[in-house]
Amino acid sequence: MTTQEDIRSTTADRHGFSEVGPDDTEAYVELQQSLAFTRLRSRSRRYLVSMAALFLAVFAGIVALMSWTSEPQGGSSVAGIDLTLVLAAGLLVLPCVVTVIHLVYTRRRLDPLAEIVRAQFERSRR
Amino acid sequence: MIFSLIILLVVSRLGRARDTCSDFYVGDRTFTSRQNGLALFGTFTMMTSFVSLSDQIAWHGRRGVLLAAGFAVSWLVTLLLVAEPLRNTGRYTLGDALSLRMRARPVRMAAGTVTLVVSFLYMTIQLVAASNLLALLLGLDGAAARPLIILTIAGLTATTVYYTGMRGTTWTQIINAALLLTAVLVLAGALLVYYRFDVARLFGEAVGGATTSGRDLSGPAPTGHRSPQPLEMSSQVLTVMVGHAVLPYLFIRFLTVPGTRDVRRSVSWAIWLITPYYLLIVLIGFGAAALVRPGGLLASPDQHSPVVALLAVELGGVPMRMFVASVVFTTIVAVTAGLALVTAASFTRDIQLNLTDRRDGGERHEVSVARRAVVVICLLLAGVAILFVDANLTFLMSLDVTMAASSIFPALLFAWFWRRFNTVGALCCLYGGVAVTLALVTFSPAVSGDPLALFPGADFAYLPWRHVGLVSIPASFLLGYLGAVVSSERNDAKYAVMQVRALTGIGAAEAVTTSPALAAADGEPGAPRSRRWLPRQRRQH
Repeated sequence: MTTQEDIRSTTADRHGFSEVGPDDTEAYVELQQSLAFTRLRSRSRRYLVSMAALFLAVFAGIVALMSWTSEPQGGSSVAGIDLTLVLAAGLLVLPCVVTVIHLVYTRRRLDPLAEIVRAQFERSRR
Repeated sequence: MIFSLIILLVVSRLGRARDTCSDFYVGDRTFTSRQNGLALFGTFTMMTSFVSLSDQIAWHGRRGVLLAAGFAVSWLVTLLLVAEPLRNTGRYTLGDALSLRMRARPVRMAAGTVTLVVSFLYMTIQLVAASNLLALLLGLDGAAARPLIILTIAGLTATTVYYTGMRGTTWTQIINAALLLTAVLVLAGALLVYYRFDVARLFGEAVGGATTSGRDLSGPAPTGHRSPQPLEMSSQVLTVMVGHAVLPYLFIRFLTVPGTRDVRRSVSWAIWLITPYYLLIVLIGFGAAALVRPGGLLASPDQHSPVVALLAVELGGVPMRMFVASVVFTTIVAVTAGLALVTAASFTRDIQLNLTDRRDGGERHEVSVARRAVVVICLLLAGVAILFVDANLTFLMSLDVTMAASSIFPALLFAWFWRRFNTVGALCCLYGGVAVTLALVTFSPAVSGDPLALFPGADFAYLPWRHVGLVSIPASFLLGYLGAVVSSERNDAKYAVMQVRALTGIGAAEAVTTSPALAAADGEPGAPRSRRWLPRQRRQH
């Protein structure tokens, strides 16, 4: 629960570094409970958690494959190159793939919502 | 030397930074995402990856490749978790971001201390390693050679940062990024031409050549002195992944662009550059293992033995070697400049102004303090580096990254995403993480009981691992949790401010529009004036 005490203490930065005024803080608290913001928050949390889990799983999977399945110098190869090296190249390409997904997802799903919340904030300022 | 002249030329054309915090620390946040991406790449891929990573790959094969992957993946941690909330909540330093919802004084102090320790250690290691490498590459072996190199680098860095602040630093980093990419492309190209684009043969010879000299490139085992464990390997990779995402000198780079979307873009630019770069580094590492015959590799058993240099000589003779030397030189100036700026900013804002109550001087005063801090830091740095020029500092590298990973990372994540977090929790994360890391490393094989340790003679290594991240990072999270639960402080209003800002970018510090006269004085033809997507804000800084 947010108390008035909380709101007042937010501004008590002794160096004046803090640029949040008391009415601002109230606006932020209101905003935090608004529909658009809660939707943005849950969507971005769900996305971040699943994305992080996914790329960690892929990463761990490839590392495990590299360290346990292949015997030194033997085993399978693709086009004459050791399979583990191909896997390693895959590991290095992984960030690129995730980046593309991230850019597309944030542009389509998160940015519009953030824009709405920002517009709400602007309106409440006037 | 030509490159140092170029740096000075650029610096002089950029002109002196104005006396505002915004201009000195973050170049008024007017860099475009492409410039920022290049500069990020230039700062990130310093010595570690160009020199030691190719070493690692040439010596240990697959283990080195895994490490390279760890570096690349750390950018994902940055992209997904760190960059955007940091741009939205931070102003100039780590303390600025954290004090948004904590009691400012103790948290700023802690954040400043951690930043100072981490960056200073980092600078010293880089500088010592670079001076050794440059002396080797340039063939200077007098007693005065290395101190002279250190002094040159420190002086150039101090000049750059003192006069131009973030602008000069950034352009140095951009030049450096371009040079590094060229160097890697040239080396890899020469390698491919040498093998007539038969990559399979290259790898075959690398593994073959390694086996004849008793090394095993395709096995996961390093040719170390202690038997390696998969757990220690994962500890190392975890540390690299998390630690490099939150190193303070990358931090400030996220604050130099106009808006949230630009941060995302610049990180993705950096990732686009880094992926091919690491692929080429892997190629170069194996190429070195294949071409530089066992005699060459084993003739330099020193930790700083630069495989890159040996390969350059093998492929291109003396000109190539000089080129690599100049690349290393620019790299180290760019990296130290970035670090010195961050350290000075953190010292000024989080410690000096925090202890004394002198805010009356305003921004002009703050910037002049920061300028003086830069000079002092560079002098101190040169002194310390000259003192330790012969010491084996490699273990400090992993200590440093582990410290960042287990203090800054948990504190930031908790501050952005956990309602119950508070000042005591943050202090526990920051100080506790550093303390735990130091304690663990003291009793690890990195300090004693190993031929390559700091004190090879003594043996008080009770822990089996050199890389303690797998223990210290969770320990710091736990400490932060306990600290927050024990303390009664709780403020949901501040959390609301933090959360709304972190996710939406409301209230984030804006780019400063420069007047046309100043823009002309900047001298750079493509001077960054991106006005794309700026959240219109009521409050100007």
